[in-house]
Amino acid sequence: MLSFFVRRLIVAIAVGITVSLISFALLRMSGDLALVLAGEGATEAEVAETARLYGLDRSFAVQYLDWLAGAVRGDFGRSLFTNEPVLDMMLETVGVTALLAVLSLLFGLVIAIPLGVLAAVRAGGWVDQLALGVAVFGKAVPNFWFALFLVFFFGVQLRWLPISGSQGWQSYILPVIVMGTGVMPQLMRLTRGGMIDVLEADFVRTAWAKGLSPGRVFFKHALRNAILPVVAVSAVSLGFLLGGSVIVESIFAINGIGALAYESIRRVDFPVVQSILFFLSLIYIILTLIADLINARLDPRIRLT
Amino acid sequence: MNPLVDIRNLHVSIPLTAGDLKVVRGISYTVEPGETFAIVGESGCGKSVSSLALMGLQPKQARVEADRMTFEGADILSMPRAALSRIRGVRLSMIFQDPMTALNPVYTIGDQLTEVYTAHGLGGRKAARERAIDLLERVGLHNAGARMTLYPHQLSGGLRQRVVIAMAMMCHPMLIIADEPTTALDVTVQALTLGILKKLQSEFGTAMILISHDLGVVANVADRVAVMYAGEIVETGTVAEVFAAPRHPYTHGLMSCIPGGAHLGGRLPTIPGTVPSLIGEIDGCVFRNRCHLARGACNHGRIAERLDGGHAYRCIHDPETLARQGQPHAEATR
Repeated sequence: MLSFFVRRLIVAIAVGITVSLISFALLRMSGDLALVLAGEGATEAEVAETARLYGLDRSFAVQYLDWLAGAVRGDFGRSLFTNEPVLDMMLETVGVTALLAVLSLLFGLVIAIPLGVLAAVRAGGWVDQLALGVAVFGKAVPNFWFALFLVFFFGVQLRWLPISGSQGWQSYILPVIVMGTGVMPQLMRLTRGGMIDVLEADFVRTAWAKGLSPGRVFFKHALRNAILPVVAVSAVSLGFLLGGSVIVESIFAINGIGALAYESIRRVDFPVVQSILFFLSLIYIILTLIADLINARLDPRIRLT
Repeated sequence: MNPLVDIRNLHVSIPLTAGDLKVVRGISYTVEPGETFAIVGESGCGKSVSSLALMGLQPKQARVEADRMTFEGADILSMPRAALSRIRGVRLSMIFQDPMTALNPVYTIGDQLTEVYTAHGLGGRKAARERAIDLLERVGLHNAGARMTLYPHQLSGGLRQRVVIAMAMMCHPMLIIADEPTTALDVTVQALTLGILKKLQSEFGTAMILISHDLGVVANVADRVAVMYAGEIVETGTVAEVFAAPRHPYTHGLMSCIPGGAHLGGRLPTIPGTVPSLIGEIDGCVFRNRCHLARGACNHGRIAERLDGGHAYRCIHDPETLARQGQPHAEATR
């Protein structure tokens, strides 16, 4: 188990460095940052001065290594706009986004797993048909539209829930429903597909032959074998929720890291954009690592590979 | 004494678009407490599915009908699911063919062994653990206490099958259904595994239905044998009766297909032709299209069962005819 962890960790670090390099390069390829920063109508001398001031006149490798050296020490530089340390800005906002993402994933899983199991047990039955309908709806409806619909219905018409802000747990309900509905379909279909395969397996027949109850057969013997891809995709979904909450955060006026990223892109605040990109990919990598470890815990055979 | 298993006129069919696939066509047999009853036949003859039906584990689409199907006097067919679950694994248990897939890969063997004991409320975790270790030692897994934490993939096929055997014995069943228990194993460990199974069976006084296509295994282990062909039992009797003097041309043909003996060095005889389609009814003898003795009277109706003491067979020909016109297929040698 330890050597499995070490090997996965090395891979994760390699992926992290690659991602930071690519994101750093992409941001610099998006245009001449000094030109944009100096503003419209700036003279050539002013642009050169701006480039020197922000270190943009140095070679790409030097800029990257300088930034990386800071990043590993937790120093992501300062915002060009507010002059606050970037790290502080990210830490202030990431909590809300992370909470939103985790709750959304849990909401998605709580619906997806039982529904997927039921759909598989009675494949082709009405539960299965209904689950398919719900999945298609969840995937096909754009989240901004669904969000506005919920705001209109529960916030404006029924006045049950607040329509914006991030004060109190009630303000999380609608965003969590919107984002959870977005990730639920693939998790549900994966659970269903995995279960249908596993229910045909010999060891499930053994479990029936042992006289175990349907609950034990489905949830203990079958589900644990069917759930491995669901765990892996959950990690990916969580990363997606963290990075993809920009729209939902802005609709519900939630002060999360997605909203910060959106604002910073508008202001050409490139140290912030750069760091958020890196920060989110780092979280993504850590989540994938955790998913690998959970799977290794669930299936002893994975520990060998 | 009442028989442990009493099956009369069992039919199993699977509805297909082309018609009903009749995989079991009116078979009857009994199993007495403690005895070993073998069912032999080739793939697809219905030997497995007929015993799965006894456990209520037939494929979902299959339709099971019988005049009588009882285990310990209780009617399996009318038994509610929950009641069937209570006797499965406890009063009757099953050993499947492939030990590589019959165990759940994500749980330790200890967990899978003790589970059946505790789930049926026969005792607590400690008692279950002691029983599991005792059984593992009996099937020859030494140092069983330490090996309880192993996962199936950490054991060889032969050892896994021994775990499956121990698992089937956990609740001290009255009947074990062993479906090709050694077929998936290396030849070198087949005899050993069979010996272990036989030993436990006699120690516990458990009856066994042994499903096999291996006549050698049957001859070594079984008390009585039924030969199945195309969903029918064509011949049944004690192993001595059936092996020494087969009364049905199919059984006769099977015996002559065993390598060695008279054909040593020659070409191994085979039974020409193929099994008839199992869709719909078969008029006449199920074996007639491959039988060298077939004549007009074989073509119509169901062939009645003829009895010679406990030895029963479905063939209109006299044993003398069969003995005299013996093995035309053997003529294919050289």
